Amino acid sequence: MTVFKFVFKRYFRNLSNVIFLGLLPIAAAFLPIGGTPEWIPLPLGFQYYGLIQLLIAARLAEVIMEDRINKILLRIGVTPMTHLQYLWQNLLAFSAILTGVNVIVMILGIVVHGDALISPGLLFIIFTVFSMTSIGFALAWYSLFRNKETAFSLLGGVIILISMLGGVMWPIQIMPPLIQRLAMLLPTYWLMEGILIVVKGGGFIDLMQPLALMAMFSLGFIILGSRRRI
Amino acid sequence: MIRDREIWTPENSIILWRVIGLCLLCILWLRSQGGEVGVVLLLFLSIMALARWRFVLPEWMVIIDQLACFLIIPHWPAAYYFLAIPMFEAMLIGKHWIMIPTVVALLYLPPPIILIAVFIQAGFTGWVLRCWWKEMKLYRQEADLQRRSRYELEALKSELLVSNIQGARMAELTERNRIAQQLHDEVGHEITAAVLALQAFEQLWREDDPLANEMFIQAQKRLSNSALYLRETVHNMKPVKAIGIDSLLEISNGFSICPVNFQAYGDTSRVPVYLWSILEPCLKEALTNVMRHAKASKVDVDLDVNPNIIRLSIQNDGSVSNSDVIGIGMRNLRQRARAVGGSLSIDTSDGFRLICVLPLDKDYY
Repeated sequence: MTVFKFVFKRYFRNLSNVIFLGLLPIAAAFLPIGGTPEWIPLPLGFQYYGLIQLLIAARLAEVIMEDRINKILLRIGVTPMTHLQYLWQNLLAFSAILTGVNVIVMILGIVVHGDALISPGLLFIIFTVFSMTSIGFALAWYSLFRNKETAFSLLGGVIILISMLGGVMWPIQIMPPLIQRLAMLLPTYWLMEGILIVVKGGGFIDLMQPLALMAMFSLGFIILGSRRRI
Repeated sequence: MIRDREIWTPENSIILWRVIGLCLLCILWLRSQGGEVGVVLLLFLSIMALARWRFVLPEWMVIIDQLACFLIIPHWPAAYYFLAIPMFEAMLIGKHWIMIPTVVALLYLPPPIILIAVFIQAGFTGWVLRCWWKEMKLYRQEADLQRRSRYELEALKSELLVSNIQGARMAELTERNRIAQQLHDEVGHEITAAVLALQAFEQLWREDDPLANEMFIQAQKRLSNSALYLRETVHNMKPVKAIGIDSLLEISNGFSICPVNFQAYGDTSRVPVYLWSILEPCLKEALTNVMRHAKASKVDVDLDVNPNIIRLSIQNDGSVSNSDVIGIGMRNLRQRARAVGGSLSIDTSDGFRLICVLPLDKDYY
């Protein structure tokens, strides 16, 4: 589990990473209730939490991109460690970090907002599944690029774009019908679909469809990103 | 030439077909108002395509693709078109029987002509890509095999060249041994006998013995015998065929197309036999080239023997065609020259000049 341990060491050694990981989600938990009762009557931070997750996952998966650029992956390639081991230890570490953040944010949300946070348990499940999707997305994105700067500069824009199209920032119904249908091909749409089901009082069974689709997106992204590029 | 990064490979074409196919199905889903089930099917087929690109999936997995389509068809009839993907995959792996469920379903439902066209296209493309991929694999194997045998041949050739040099040295040593033996056995004995006879004659002559005269005649006879044996031995040893510098001169004189000006400098007797065996074919090859390609009016042949190297230069003033192409003869000569640590170069800037430089091995003698 050397790689697993080293993800933590490398990530938390950098102070800006710690601030980014700690400050952004915790500040989000303290944001007041926003939105409209017809759409999502949730604290604003939880409405935008999908976007924050995508950004954190992008920051986390940078480790893999750096390994590739700095030829660490090449050196790992000559050790007895397989690429699969390297990958799953990294992914496990990323998901452990993101799940930990989710737990903290949920506890803070319950403390700060009390009953205004509707079904925190179900929301936690949705966000945890979406964590995997965001990690997979970041992984797949980095695997498409050879140049670190290009990948980073484009990724921020793409994350904002898929968040907007997926209905994280505003109700999807205000967009043209064609874009509404296109949005169904984005993972963020299914995240918001899940959140909408929860705020409308749906149970775990109702959540199965968005959760399954998010899991499928994760699987697809991880397969795409699992290719070893040296 | 083999390009390092070939774009239009069967593997890339397969990926391209899958991407285009999924994009087209995506457009179909957008236009035909397919619901969430359509998204599920699209995602599922995309995951399967990604998995096929990343891993080698078992052949029967194509049946799962078909099953997924059949599950969605009751909810969204346009999902029939999605069966084109498993059709393509089945043809690609060459297992036609996997498509039996789809064919049965098509027989059950009279399909629109466009659906049949899509299926035929998908199946045909899969089959063509499969054939292309197989051919490519075959050619690659063939090329690898050829390359391997070429390397083996080259290794064998250099080994042969080295053993040729060793053989020449051995032959020379054996020959020296034979000469020494023959001189010792035939000439040596006679001369020794003559010397002994002369010594006896001297003694008898001083004593005014009448036998002195007879002894002198005997010594004289033995000396003339040894002179005869020596002449015979030398005559027997001299090869019928000219070797060394004589052989080069013979080749030059025998060239009838244009006059050959042969010049030799230095002590040519120092050149070992195995180097003559390279210089000779060099001169022959160059003169053959003159005869075939260049319309030369004269050829200059210079042989320089220095303490360290031998340099053979053959120059003609004729025109040079296809100078870039080096023939098999020239390539072989170059390899032979390399095997003894020398080099062979061609200069076509002014007429045609072939220069062969070979090192003289000081330890040889």
